[in-house]
Amino acid sequence: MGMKILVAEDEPLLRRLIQIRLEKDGYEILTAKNGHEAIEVITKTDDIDLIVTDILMPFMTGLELVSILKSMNKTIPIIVLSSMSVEKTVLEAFRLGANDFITKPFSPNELAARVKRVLEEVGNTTK
Amino acid sequence: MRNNTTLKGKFYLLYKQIECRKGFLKGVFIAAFILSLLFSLLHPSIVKGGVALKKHKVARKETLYSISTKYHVSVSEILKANNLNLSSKIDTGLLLIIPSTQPSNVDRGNTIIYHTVAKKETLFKIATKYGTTPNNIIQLNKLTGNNLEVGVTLIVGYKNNQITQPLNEAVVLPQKDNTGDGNSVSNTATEVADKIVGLGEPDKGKNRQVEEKDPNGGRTHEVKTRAPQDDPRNKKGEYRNLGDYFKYSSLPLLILRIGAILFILAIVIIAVVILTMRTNKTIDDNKKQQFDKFFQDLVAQIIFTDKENETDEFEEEFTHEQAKLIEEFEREFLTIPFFRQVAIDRLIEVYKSLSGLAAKRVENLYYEFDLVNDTLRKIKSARWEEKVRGIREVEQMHLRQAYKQVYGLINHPNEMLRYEAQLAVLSLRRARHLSFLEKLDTPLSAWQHMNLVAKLKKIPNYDVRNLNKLLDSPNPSVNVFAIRMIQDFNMVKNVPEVQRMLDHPNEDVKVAAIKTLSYLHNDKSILKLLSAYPGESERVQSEILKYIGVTGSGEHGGMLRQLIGSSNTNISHAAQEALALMSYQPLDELNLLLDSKTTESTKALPESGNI
Repeated sequence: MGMKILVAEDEPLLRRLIQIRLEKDGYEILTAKNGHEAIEVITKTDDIDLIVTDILMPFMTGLELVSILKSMNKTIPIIVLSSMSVEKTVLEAFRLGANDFITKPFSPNELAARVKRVLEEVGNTTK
Repeated sequence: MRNNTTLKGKFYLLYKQIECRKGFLKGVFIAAFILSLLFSLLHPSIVKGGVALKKHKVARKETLYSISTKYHVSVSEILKANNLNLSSKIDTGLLLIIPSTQPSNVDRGNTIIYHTVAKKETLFKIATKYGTTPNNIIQLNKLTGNNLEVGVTLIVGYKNNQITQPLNEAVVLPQKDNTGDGNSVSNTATEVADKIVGLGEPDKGKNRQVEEKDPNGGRTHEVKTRAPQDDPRNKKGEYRNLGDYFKYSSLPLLILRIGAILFILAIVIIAVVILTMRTNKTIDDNKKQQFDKFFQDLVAQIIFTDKENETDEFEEEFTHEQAKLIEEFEREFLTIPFFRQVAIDRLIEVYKSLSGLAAKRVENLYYEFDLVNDTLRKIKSARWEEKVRGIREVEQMHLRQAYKQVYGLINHPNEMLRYEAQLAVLSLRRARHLSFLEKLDTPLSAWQHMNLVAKLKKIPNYDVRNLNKLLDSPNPSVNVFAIRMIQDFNMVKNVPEVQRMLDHPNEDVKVAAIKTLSYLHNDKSILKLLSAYPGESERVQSEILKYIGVTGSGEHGGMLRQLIGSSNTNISHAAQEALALMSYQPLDELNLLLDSKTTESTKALPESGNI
């Protein structure tokens, strides 16, 4: 596999748990504490295959991150994590270009499954 | 032991700290430098020698002595200050440094020379005698004119104790008339030097009065000296000890010096404290990093354990390896209260974000680390903010065993605390989530109402049955809450109950009921409101008019038009608003009515009771 996934989440323990869970599936994980850091990592690393981002983060929210990536013409698939399952937020995330939306609380295994599916979908469309 | 912070490590950290904080240290050093400079300026020895320096350009026919008397300093002091000796040439135009001023002459144990005025003596004569000028004597004695009275004692000059100037001798240096620019005093200076050496013994004895016979007649001059042992300072002008320094130094200067010392001390202490704190912080940060790594790996290992038998997931036991890690973690970190709290916060955050088996395992860890007792202890704490923290933890970890304790706090006098307890109770309940409000006897704010509704809506399958019981509560704010809930949750079935609340004695309850009734429209409401209108207070009447505006039909338009003319401005405004709210009412008609009201303001209008 060896696909690169960027995990942007402000809560350190959760970030680490997501990292460890996804590493178990053989992905290479990069992490960021907030949207700013995520942008930095993305500009430095070319071959990121997927971004998993929380919505509520300091300095730059997940939704801002998604819209900035869109304006940068980055076509990296994004999975948005949020504790706000408000319809408006979900729709906004999809409108901005998110590929999937996971509501907290979530099961790490569910996240892993969705990551796998999104990567497969993107792989199929690019082929 | 793992991760031991050794002394060497501490020093390394301190070094790193200093390296990182170069800017900060630079600031401290600059401040210290400026302050020491300030302090040194205030030091007595420098004050003595440096502050009062003057410059003098030697004029024609001026001698070293005339200059010395002009500035009331000794010749030797001038020579010393200018790195000259008595054989040096003092040419016209030469710039001399005059080392000291008049007051310090007296201060440093110099002798004041007095002269008692004899008959026929003039200022000029006396000045010539003492090698000074009439003006100088006038200044020294603050005289107003040239007239002198016989017998008056005048200050004519100062005599240095260390190097005594001749008094009766030819004090005026012989001046060599020279047509050239330079007035050479070299020869005469040597002569004077000899004389000075001859008379060089300082006066000894205490407050001695010297009577010296003047060869010209009955003129006397008194010389009062202060004995050297009275002077608290040594020859260099420094105080012999700190006691003398504080005793003789002038008060403002003393305050300044003490202030400067205290200031420097404070700066040094602050710098030390800041450095220590920062070093400790670095050590803490280091320990925190160790904690994070250990904790994260431990939690991950426990959460992501693959169990062969998933059926016993709720009573799962830790593996031998996990148990060992847990024990080590507890020993290393959980003996420190700070890390216990961090562990609680982190686990709660993850518990909120994860679901299913992962969440259950997080909960298990919370119990395994015995953090649940920390939370329960907080609720018992005497400090309200600690209690609030405990309540939040109870709510977030769903600790149902603490329900009773939290329930006991819903009427706490501290508003923050009781609101927090109410929210926790709401989310801990399994059914009839709002029934705890039946027991509420403290007021419920609109803000808390919003919080409760928001919290309720997050609960899956929330249960809002039996709101009628809340309508019967003796607490009016709970009645208002229930009425608004009926509106928020669109409970049309409960409208008769709300109508019943129109008979409630409390105005807030009535107003809330009218508002809710205007949302949950019912034909019977308007009749009830109209019949109640006459006996109601102004506020309730206004609310009823608003109701008519929102829900009313044309048949009540006439009533509103009449009320616009009411002598009560509030009722009149409410009627205007209501008319504006009525969709059928064109705006120009309203304006017309308003115009007619202003023109017929004196016209008698029906009282509210007549409607």
